[in-house]
Amino acid sequence: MPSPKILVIGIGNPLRGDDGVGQGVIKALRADVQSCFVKYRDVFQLLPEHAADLAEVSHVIFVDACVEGRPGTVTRHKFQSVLQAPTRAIGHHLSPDWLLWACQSWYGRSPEAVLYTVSGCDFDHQESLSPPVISAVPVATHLIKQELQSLLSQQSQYTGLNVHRDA
Amino acid sequence: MSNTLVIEPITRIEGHAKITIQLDEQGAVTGTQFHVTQVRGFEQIAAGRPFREMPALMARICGICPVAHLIAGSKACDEILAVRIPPTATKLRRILNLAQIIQSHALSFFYLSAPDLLLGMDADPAQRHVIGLANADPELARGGIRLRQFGQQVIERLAGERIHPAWVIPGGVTAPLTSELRQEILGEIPEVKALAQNALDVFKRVLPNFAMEIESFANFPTMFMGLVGSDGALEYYDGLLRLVDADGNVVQSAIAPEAYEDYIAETLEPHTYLKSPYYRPLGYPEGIYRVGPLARLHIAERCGTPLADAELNVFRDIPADQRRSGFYYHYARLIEVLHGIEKMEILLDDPDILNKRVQASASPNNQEGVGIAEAPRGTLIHHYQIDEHGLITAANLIIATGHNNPALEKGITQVAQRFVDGNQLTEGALNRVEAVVRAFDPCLSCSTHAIGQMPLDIRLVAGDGQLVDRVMR
Repeated sequence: MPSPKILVIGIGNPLRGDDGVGQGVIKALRADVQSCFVKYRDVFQLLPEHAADLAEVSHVIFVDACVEGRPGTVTRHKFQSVLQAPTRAIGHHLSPDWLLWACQSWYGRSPEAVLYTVSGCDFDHQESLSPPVISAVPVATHLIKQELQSLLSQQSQYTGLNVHRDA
Repeated sequence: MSNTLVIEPITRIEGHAKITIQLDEQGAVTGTQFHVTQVRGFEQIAAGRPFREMPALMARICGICPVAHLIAGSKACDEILAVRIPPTATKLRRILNLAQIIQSHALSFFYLSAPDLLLGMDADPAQRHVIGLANADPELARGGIRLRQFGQQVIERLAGERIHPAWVIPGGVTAPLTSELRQEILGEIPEVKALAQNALDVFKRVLPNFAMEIESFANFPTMFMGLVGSDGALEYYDGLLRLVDADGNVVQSAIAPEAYEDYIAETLEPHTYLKSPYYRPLGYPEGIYRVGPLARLHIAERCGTPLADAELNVFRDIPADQRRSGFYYHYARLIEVLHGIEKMEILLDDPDILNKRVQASASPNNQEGVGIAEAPRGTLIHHYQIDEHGLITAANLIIATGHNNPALEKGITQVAQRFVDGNQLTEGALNRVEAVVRAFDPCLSCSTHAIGQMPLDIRLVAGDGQLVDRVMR
C-alpha cells in the first residue's frame, strides 16, 4: 500500500468549546474523504515529535481555531518556505511555522503547508461548539475537501490511480 | 536582615511549582522550600463513583503517564474482583507500561534535560531547549524524538489513544493484539534499540563535564524503594516492594501491596500541597527514600535483558557513594529505555501474546483493593475501598513524585547552598537549582510542560520587602 503523502492535522481541545473545531473538521473529513494518500491526525497541540510526521509527507494542512476575526470566519493561509526560526518565543507547544522550520532544520525537508483557521468566540469548558462555529464546520470541511481533491488529482498523475470526486 | 529568593515557575518540568531560597545577611543559603501550588483533589472526586470507572477516571490525573494510573487502578480493581487475569492480558499490560516508560523517559531526557547536558548548564537560556539541542546535535535530537514517538505510537496502536486510552480495564484488556501490529512493532525494535544505545554513548561521553553537579545533586544517603520481581530482577508491573539503604543493604525485601500502609506513612508540610511519604518504622524525616529509575537500579539485582544488563554493570562500576547522586537519574532513565525496548521485544516474541483470551469477568468479591505499578517516575499506589453497591467509599493514591518529595526538597537545598550566592545571582546557578528538580523528573500536575523560554522572574527581596536583585528571561 502506498504511504500517505498528505497529512491533515486538526489542532485543539474539544473540551474547550470552539477550540475543538479543528478536531471537528477532521472528523467530518475522515467520513468524507478517504484515500490511502491522506492521513488524518487530531492533536491537542503541536509538539516537537510532529516534525517527524511532517518530514514524511509532501503536503500538510493544519486546521485550528482562532481567537481573532468574526466568529465562524474560515481563513486560509499558505506558508512560504520557512528558512529562519520564527522570532517569537516558544512555550509548551509549537506553532505551525515553528514546526515547519523544525522539520526543515532537523530533517532537511518540509512539506508544502496551509493553515485553515476558524474564528471562535467561546472557549470555555464545554464539549459543544458555538452556533457560528457549528455553521463554519461544513464550510471549512468543503474548502479542505476541494484542496484535498486537487492534491489527490496531482497524486493520480504520478500513480495512475483514479480519484473519486464528489459533486 | 535575611532575604528570600523565589524561582517561579520552575521551567522544563511537568506541572507548576516554585522554589523559595532563604538567604542570611551575608547572602549565603540557609534553607529552601519546594512549593507545589496546585490542589487537584482526585481522591475526593473518586468518592461515590462505581469502582469499575476508577482506572479510566484516575488516568485523567496525568497527561504524561496516564497508562501508569490506568494499570495501577486496574490492578486495584482486579483485587476487588479477586480475579486472576489471563496471562496474555498481563503481558499486554506490561508492553503498554513499557511503551509509556520509554516515551516518558524520552520526554524527560531529550526534551527537558538534554539541553542542559549537551549545551551546558550555563548556556544561553534562549538556546537551552529542545530546539537548541536539535541545532547542536540533530542526530541525537532526531533520535530522542523518534524514541518518544515510538513509545507513544505503541500506546496508540495497542490501546487506541496516545493519551488516556481506556484499553486496560478491571479483569484484563478490552482487545487482543493482532499479528499485523505485533510484526509492525517488532519491525521497529532494531532502530529504536540503536537509538537508545547511541543516547547512552553520548551521555557517558559528556558525563565527565558534570563532576560538580554529580557531587552536589542530591548525593546524600537515602533509602531507595521500588518493585522487584520474584527473581530480584527489574520489575514495573508485578512483584513486591523492596527497600534498600544507601549502601545497598536490604531494609525490607518483600512488602506485599496490601501491606503498604504498615510501612509507608505520609505527612504534610505547610508550604506545599504535595504530601511527603516516609518509611513508617523510621519516622519522618529519617525515613525518607527515593523511587524512580535511579531507585529501581539500586534495588534490582539485574535488569534481566542482555544489553541493559551490560549497561547496568558499567553503571555499577561507579563507586557506591557517587552512584546515589540524583544526577544519575538521567543515566538510569536511559538504561531503562534500552531495557524497555528489549523487554518489549521478548514479550512480543512470546507466541502466547496473540492469544485471544484477554479478559476475565467477575463481580466484586472484596471490599478493597491495592494496585501497585512502577510508573516512569517511580512507585505508584492506588488503594480503593467500596461499599456493597460497588461505589467508592475511600481512595488513597500515592504517586511517585510524592515519594520523592522529601529527598527532592533536600536536594534543592544542597544545590542552592553549593551554587547560589545571594550577593550575585547568576542564571547558570539558578538553572542548576531547577536542574536538580528536572533530574527527579517530577510530574506535578501533568498538565503542562515547557520548552525553554518560559517567563522566568527571579526576585531577591529583602526582609523589609525591598527588591535587592532581579533576573528575568
